[in-house]
Amino acid sequence: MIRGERTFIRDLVSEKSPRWENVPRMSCPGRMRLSAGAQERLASSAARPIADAWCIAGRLEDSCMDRKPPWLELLDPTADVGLRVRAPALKTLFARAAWGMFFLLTDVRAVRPVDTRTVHVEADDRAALLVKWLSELNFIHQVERRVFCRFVITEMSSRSLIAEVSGEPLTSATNVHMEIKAVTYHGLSVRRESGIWKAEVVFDV
Amino acid sequence: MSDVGLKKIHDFLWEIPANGAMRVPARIYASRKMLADITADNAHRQAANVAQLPGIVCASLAMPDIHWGYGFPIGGVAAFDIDEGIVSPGGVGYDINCGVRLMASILKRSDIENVISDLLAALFSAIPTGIGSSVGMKLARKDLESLARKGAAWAVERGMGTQEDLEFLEERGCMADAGPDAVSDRAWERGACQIGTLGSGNHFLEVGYVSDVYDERAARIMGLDADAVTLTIHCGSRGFGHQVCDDYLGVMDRAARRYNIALPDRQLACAPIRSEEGQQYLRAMRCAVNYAFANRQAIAHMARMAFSAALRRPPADIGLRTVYEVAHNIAKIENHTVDGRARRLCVHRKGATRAFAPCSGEIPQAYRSAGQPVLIPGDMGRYSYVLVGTERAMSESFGSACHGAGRRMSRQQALKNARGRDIARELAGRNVVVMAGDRRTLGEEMPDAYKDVADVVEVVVQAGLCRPVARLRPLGCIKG
Repeated sequence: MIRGERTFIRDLVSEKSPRWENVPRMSCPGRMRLSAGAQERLASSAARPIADAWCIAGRLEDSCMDRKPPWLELLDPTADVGLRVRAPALKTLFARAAWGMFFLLTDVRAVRPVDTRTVHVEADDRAALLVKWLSELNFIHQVERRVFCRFVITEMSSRSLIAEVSGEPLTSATNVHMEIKAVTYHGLSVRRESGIWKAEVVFDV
Repeated sequence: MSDVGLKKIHDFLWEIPANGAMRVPARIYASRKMLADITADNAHRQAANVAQLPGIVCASLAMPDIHWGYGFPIGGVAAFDIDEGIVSPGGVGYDINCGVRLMASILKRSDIENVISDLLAALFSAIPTGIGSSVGMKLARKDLESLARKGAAWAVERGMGTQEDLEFLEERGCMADAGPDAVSDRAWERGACQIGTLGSGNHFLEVGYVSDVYDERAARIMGLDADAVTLTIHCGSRGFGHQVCDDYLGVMDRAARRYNIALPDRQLACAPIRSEEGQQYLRAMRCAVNYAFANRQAIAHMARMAFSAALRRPPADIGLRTVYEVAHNIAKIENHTVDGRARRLCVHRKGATRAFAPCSGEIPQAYRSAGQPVLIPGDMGRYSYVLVGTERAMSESFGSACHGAGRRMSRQQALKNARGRDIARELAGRNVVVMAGDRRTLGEEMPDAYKDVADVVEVVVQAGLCRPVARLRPLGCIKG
């Protein structure tokens, strides 16, 4: 953490006004890339690693969008994002929908199942249950700043669900791609076709 | 255009006449070339659906940056009679009081061109961006409730900014009659850590300069001299507002059934303004509106500090002052004259900006001869506009105008298009330095993903809703 930054942050939420002298001063050369040494120094000294921001310079290549599993499709509304998920069983469908949401949010394959918690949600019908389930995970993700990678639905009816979810806290190294404002009811569906369960859900981002 | 039922009123205004369950016509401000995109998106149908809602007055309006939204289109304006009409969370949107603040400094472009990277680095460091970004501390519930009642003044009381800032904010940065008791525990929890944060998606901070002045007198009044360095802040009420909207969509879904309101689309869920549910939503929404005002005030203050730190000058020598701040997603009780009669209306603006005419008592004294500033940001590679509202906007669009460029590509299309390209380098080639926490964000938000905001601005100017004052060009941009 850069000297002065903690004071700055504390003052922001207290009665005092942060002083401009206390704002951490970043020394960045005028070009787009920092030297490896400078990146290392900045990364080790800044609470918010500036070096991360400079990493955006570079080609956008193997987007994780290419490495999605075969049961997951991305829907493409103009301003938002959505998922279409398939599974042989309803419990798996809900678990895969949650994995799909974290696939959008972060590099889900890099998340470690460090700890596990129980999540319980209830709703009026099966489709609303999917919205509640994903909303609950997004709420925990945002408020407790955690990411999840493993979802085991232990009990399920058409109106309630209990699951064990595993993941780890967000760190400055966690790559978070987007913020989901809400899980919407637009185009929402959970149905069974030819023995396969399918779900579609759209997120407001 | 008869195939989609659109009738031309003039070159920049089209109408779907009232038919079927529509109580009033739907009117869309657009050029002919924009109509193909609008109709392909079915956004015009959404404008027609809104025209079916009880108590709607005059017409369901859509601005030229209209695109498909949840229930109500984004870029929609709808006014409802306060006694017979409804209020709808879908007519405001998830990001309640998402809005834009424009600040202008006494610095000239040449003062910062050589230090723009340092300046962006200082802003990036001081102002948290991106997902779940937080200042690292949690506000206590009583502080949050105070913030939700006071808005931007809450931040000013804590030394973040001045009384003069408040003078130049829509509503002076605080909506009265906010009701913290109408807000859920979940919303308080989501909002506890996010004051002073930019968020993600299309939210941004942009350092730019005044490149063109179209109305010298109005620009002088606003302190927008040629080459003056500007800062634009675009963000909203963060998780707090998202949760308020989410909570009340459920409440309104039940309320619409209870009050027998026929809905062409379930996402238009609403309740009578005078009902318990309607009043509760308005009270909760105003808390989120005030949260967004406080958020932008805190960010503006941190930005002043970051400018000083990067340029090694005290804030007074930078003179970064608020030009104006507008709300994009909001429902407000306003007085308007309709067919020669004074009416009290609940005006929903979702992805639309208030654009009040000169002499309005609702705008700062200093701007009453010019009109209310209307701030229209474009994409991060091109330009943004400052306009002012007109009498025509007051008589035709409830004093409203457009809010931005609007997306041309979906996020995935943009990513596909960006593959193999170095967007940061491309923008550097256009003399714009960009920073973001994530390379993917840059791909999604690259300039080609957006429409040219000049086309949108041309429509509102040609239709007479606004007059152009100045154009700003970017030097550096931080994406959330």
